[in-house]
Amino acid sequence: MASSEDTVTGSRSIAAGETRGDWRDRARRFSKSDFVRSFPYWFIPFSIMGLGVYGGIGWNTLISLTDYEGFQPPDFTDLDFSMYVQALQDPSVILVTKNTFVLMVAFTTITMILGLFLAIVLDRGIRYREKIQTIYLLPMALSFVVTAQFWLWMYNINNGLVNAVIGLFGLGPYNWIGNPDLVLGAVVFALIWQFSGYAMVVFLAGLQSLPDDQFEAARIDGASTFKTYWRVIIPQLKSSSVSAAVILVIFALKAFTFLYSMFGQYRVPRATDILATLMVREAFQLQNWAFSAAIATILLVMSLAVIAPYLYYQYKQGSL
Amino acid sequence: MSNATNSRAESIARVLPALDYSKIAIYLLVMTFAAFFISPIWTGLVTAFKTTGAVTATTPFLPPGPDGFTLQKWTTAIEYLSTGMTNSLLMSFPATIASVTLGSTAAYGLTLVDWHKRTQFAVLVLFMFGIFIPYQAVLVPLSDFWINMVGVDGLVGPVLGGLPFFTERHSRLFAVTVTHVVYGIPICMLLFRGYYVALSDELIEAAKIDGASITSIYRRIVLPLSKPMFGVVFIYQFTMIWNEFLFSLTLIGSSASPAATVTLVLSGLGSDLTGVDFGLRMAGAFVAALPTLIIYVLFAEQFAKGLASDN
Amino acid sequence: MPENGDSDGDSFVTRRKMIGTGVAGIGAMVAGCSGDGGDGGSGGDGGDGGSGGDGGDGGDGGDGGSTPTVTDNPMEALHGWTGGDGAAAAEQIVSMWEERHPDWEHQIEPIGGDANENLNATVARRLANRNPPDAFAGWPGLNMTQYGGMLSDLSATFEENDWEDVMHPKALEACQMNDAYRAVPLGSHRLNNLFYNVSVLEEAGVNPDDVTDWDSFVEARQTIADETDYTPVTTTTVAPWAVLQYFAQIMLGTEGQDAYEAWLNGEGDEQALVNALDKTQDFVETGTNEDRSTLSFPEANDMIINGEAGFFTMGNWAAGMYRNAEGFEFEEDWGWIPFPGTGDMYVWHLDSFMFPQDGNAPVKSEAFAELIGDAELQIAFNNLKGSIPLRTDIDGGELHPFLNLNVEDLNNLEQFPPTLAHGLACTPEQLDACKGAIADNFMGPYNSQDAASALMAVFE
Repeated sequence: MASSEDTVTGSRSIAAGETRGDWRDRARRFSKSDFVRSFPYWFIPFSIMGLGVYGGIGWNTLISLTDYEGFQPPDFTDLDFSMYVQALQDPSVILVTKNTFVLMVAFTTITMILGLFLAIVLDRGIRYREKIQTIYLLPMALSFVVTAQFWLWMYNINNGLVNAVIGLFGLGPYNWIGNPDLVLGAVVFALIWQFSGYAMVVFLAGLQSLPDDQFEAARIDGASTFKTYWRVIIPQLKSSSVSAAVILVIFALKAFTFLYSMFGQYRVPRATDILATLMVREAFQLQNWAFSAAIATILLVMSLAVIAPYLYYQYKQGSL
Repeated sequence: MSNATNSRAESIARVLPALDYSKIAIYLLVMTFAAFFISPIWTGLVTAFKTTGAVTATTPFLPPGPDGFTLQKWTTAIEYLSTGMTNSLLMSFPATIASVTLGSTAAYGLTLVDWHKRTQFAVLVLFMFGIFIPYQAVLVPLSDFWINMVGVDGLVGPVLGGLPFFTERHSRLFAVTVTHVVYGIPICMLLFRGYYVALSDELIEAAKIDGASITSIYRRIVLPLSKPMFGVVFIYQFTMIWNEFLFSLTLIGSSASPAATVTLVLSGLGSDLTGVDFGLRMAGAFVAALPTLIIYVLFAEQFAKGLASDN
Repeated sequence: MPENGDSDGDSFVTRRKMIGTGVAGIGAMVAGCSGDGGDGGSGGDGGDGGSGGDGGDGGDGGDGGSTPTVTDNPMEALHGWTGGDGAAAAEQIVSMWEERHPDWEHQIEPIGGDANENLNATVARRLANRNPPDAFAGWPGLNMTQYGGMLSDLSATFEENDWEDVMHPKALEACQMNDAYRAVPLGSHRLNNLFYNVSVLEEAGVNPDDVTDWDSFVEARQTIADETDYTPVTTTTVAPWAVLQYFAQIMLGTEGQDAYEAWLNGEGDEQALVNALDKTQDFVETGTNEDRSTLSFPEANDMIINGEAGFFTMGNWAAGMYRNAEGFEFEEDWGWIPFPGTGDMYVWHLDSFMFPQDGNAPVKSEAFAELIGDAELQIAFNNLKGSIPLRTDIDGGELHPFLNLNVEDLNNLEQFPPTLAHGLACTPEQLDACKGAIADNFMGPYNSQDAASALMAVFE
């Protein structure tokens, strides 16, 4: 493959005005065309990925239509939607879906706002900006398994830093992990800590791509700093916002690792149980394979509901 | 601020109304948030050096006094996690190299070579979905595939069994490694694609006119030019694979398995060991995070670049 | 991507199974191979040709019909003992195996996690994947029913070793399913314990012998709180099984064995459950460690060892930790009383090994079964694990005094309510439903009424 020195321009120029029917020649040209020559480059990774992702999804969907559970192999002759019916009627699935939404919305919104705020602050000619950015982004480099350990300690009721800090204001101590009213908030807060640095980086990149004259024009109009950002700058960060939001939503849907690590088991406290944890528990602890495959499909549909419009938006923007 | 190397941000600051008191407020703000981001990590670090008594007796974010200081948590943690660290290294390096390489060639085939535009676009979209899907959607088939269909336990075991360190169980580690390659390709492809799209066409056009083949263009022009990007993607992908947990949990299963990755071993800390306190937990967390922390400190900029071009 | 699970499963199943079925020629061939090449792959090649005749469920490892040949496959046994005491005890199994069968490779490996949860999940997955280990630790009794026809018949092994004469009758009963022995009992943990730190109680002026029922326990708890700065009771509520276990002890201690077993039989009195749950909430919330919802049981137990807390209730595996702690001696530093109100009961738990039919090393796994039932092993293992051997022919002097005390109770008491949180009293589905009922209604906020109805519904 590497030794054949075919010429791209050559194959193009011959293409016009050929006599029809000379299939031999055409086949030879086809075999030398860019398509064929570049085929191994993209097709090998594409087929590996396609098999894993789309083959996996297809197979998962098929399993979700069976009654596969326990130690017996699945029976593919009897397919129906009973698992989906069961899932949609199960009150705990409904509760878990609700938790998933609460976590997703609260986490994404607050992380975005905080990230934007930090980006604006850092964009305002701060000294050592790179260093500071490095600190803000540090949590993002750590595994959920690691940060879950940190936050378990932070939230410790007797000696945790969180209670020590709010104690300064005469509050607490609160049982962040043990109290079912607080635990979801505590988890969301920890996730915000981990991801707002990321949102900041995305917004910062967006801010830096704006031309200076935007600020100039606003200043000539006599607008205040706040108004300049609110009316002129932020609306132009739409593209960055959409990107950040999508990534954050996807992370929120996948928050399994953080929850599992924090509580050290498949069954996390009810208030923090989300579809991702329910799915893994049903499958790998209880061997309800078909049921968990159905839950996974629901989770997938939720993700697609976010990704598909996003990709379409990117396409319309011409940035895909 | 009136430095000669005036960045664009500084010029913005100059154009905006000058507010000196707000400058102070901003620095305060920046510092507060720096404290916010660093405090869980810092608290963990000092706690890891405390004796069991000092963990509960001292203020969490202050370093231990001379009586409360110990390195014992670190030695315990290192001992407990060392096999996991080795396993994670054995997994992360090949998985990263393979997914980065495949990502690069895929991006090349889809951006720098013109064939059927529409098909290229369709393939690209399929790659994009691959980045975002929740892995839960493939977990059941994945474990079925490796364990029932491929029978990975019997497959790789005999080969690995003869080598030092390896056990039969490491077949599962092999499965996790390959899994990481498969699901790592889309993001690597995307990162490279962003870079290749921005690459100057001139060189490549010139090479084409000179009659260079697709292969030689990739080898002689694209590869050397994308060296920095290889660094970025490698660092990003290595961090992701090292930190990953879900595949390890579902394919390897037990934190006590000799093939368990470091994240899996760390997650079992509370139930696998007795006498666990927060000092040990923190030391364990740091040991497990060590490679990623080192990479981050050395290459923070590349990591940030990887993240920023993620969208 | 192949979509057909059964057909592609087959080649793998047979590959695995062939080695186990003991078709003599192949067995000999495999046995003849040297070292590394002999397992899995090469066995499979040989096996494919003969797989047509194999069908169905294959041979039992233990029965006398065919004489399986020794294979080169290592004997693989999974267990859940990773924590300090458990690991040390499991190490005894390993060393005795190596001593008795020095040439037989083994993989005796722990699968971590609380209350066997990860172990059970791993075993279930291996069974589901038709790639079972040769042996695994698990609870017999109703818990065993899930494995249905997948376990080997061990009756011949029981007979050869005369185990029917030397094992505790309760254990023999629990290890039977479908008219055959399916598990080898290893040790029993007692569940209804109340451990205490001697100096904490002395400082508070509490005499443990006075703590005989719920009211006196409440009083003792209050005294510790009033007289000292120690935590009266250390608890863990990180996982539902622990809360379920508290509830079961309190139910037994206050409502009695009949009420408990009536509930398990689907004839329970809901009000009795509500009363017991109210007391459980009180037990968990009053005078306990505030970080209970993040502590695993060894971490909670550390508070007794470190002299920070007065009482702790847990299966007597907790005592294994005391034995392994330096300078923490029975009766001098820690003591034991039955859980308040359960003085005449031995709440019954049983650890055993089970042997799947399709294991890779049938001869070796039979040897392993014999090892597990061996008196010497049971002494060594249980002394370290803090459980008590099921052999009735063991001299009490060989056991730790604390264990001996339990042995006497096991032999003399008449009430043996089976443990719920450890699977003797219920099927895995029921156990999961109970844990779900607790997790959903009774791990904060505590709702006794809802939890009681949910728990009632499990057995109705």
